[in-house]
Amino acid sequence: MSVRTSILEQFAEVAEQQDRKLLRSDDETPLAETGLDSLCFAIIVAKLENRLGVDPFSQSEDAQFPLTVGDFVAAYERALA
Amino acid sequence: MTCLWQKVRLGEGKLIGRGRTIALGDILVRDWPIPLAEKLRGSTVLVDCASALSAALALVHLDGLAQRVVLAPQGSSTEQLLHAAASAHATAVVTDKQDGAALSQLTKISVTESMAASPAAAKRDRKTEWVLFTSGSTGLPKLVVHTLETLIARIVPGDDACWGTFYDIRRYGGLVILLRALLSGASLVVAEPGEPVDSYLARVQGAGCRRLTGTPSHWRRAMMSPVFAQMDLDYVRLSGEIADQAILDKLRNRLPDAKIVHAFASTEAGLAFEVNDGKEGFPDSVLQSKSADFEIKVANGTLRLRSPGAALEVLGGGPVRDLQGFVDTNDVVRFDNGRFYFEGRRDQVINVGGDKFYPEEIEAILNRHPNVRISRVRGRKNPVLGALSEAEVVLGADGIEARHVLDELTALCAAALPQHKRPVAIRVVETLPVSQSGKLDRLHA
Repeated sequence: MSVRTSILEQFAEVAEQQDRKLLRSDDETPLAETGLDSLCFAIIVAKLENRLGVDPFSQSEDAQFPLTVGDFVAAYERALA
Repeated sequence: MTCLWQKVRLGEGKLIGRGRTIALGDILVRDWPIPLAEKLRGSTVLVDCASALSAALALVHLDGLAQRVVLAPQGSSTEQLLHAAASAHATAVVTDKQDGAALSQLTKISVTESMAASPAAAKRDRKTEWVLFTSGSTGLPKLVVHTLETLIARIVPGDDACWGTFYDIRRYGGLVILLRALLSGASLVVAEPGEPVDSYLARVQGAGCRRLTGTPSHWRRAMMSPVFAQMDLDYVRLSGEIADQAILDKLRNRLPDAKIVHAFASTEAGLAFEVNDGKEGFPDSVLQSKSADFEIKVANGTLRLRSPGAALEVLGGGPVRDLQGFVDTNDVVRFDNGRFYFEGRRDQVINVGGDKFYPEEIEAILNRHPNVRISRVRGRKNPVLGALSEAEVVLGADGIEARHVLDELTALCAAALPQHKRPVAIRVVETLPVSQSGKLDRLHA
């Protein structure tokens, strides 16, 4: 399973657990417009760390949290490359 | 000033170790020869014994003689011993160990071999300081200074029925039980270093002992023991950690006729109060039990205590009391409908995006599940909200599939907790570490 698929699956799973509706998840969508809140993203990052063994946003002090879904996926792809 | 030696009540009481028993009367008819005792007079002495029984013997003989006694608990590392010896300016070590190269700069005096029946006991007229280890936030212990006076201030000597304690008698919780036994002429079954729970419980049972004290973690361990399943007890006491409703109920179910008490005490603040209504937390009436030298209050969310049983100071850390004489226990409490509930230690707070809570709140919910023996919750760093909580659980060996229990735990948390407090992961572990002081190890969490 590709990294992208894992991540998007996680979006859907957490949205359901948190009673949220995942509105959009294409690459251009700003994270703020996915329908998920910051608690959802906190959980997604933690669950992806369990699953993929990496948290790209805690690897360095100056790591920027991404703005769009595409940036989010790319951060994991870079970390796992 | 009456020293401990003179306060021991004689009778049938004895200290029951593993493979060795000392009658209280025999403690008193032995002493160091005068020249050895004179070496110890007015000095600062580190008590570093392999056997808890030897340490007890040393304490009775050092109070009133030494200026300061530093009690090294079982399992102290060389680094901790050197730190304690240096911080307290120790010049001698009283020990039952053969080696001891690490402390070679100290005068070494052995605790049993050099003591013989001696009618001419050395004069004991000093107000000895007792220095106890408490867990610090680093690997090095905080050194808390008491005197015999502060240690026994809140002890009410009672009958001479036998006691047991899971605590190391060289730490506050166990030391108070030891002193209570000595002052009451009661027997005490002393847990020896590294002794397995089953072995200790079997000795307690074998001694006909029906009163037992320990931390909630000690009791959760005991509940897993086949020996405990066969035991009958009259009196059960929990202190040192938050006693949640689950452990109180599990003990009540197991021992329907026992008196089950949970107490609040800490090395720095001393014994504050006991709760015996079987419920977690404590009634607000506790705050009304005020006297000239004793008062409990809640300020800035934490429990504070003014008590003759409080410690004098922390070595190198200054006074433990504020200007009004109160010790801040750093235990956060919440008031709800006539009762206070312990939330956790202030320094263990988990902060999820500004919403703060304590691990114990979530552990209490996990512990309600009948298959959960012990649980531990900790904060896990998170780049979005700073932290999230995650949990580890030890399950009972009753053949129920772990996956099934985990689903139920997730559902329990979802029903009882707001979203930000729910553990992001719950893992099954074989065991959870309990520190030397008998508390769930959160330092390395």
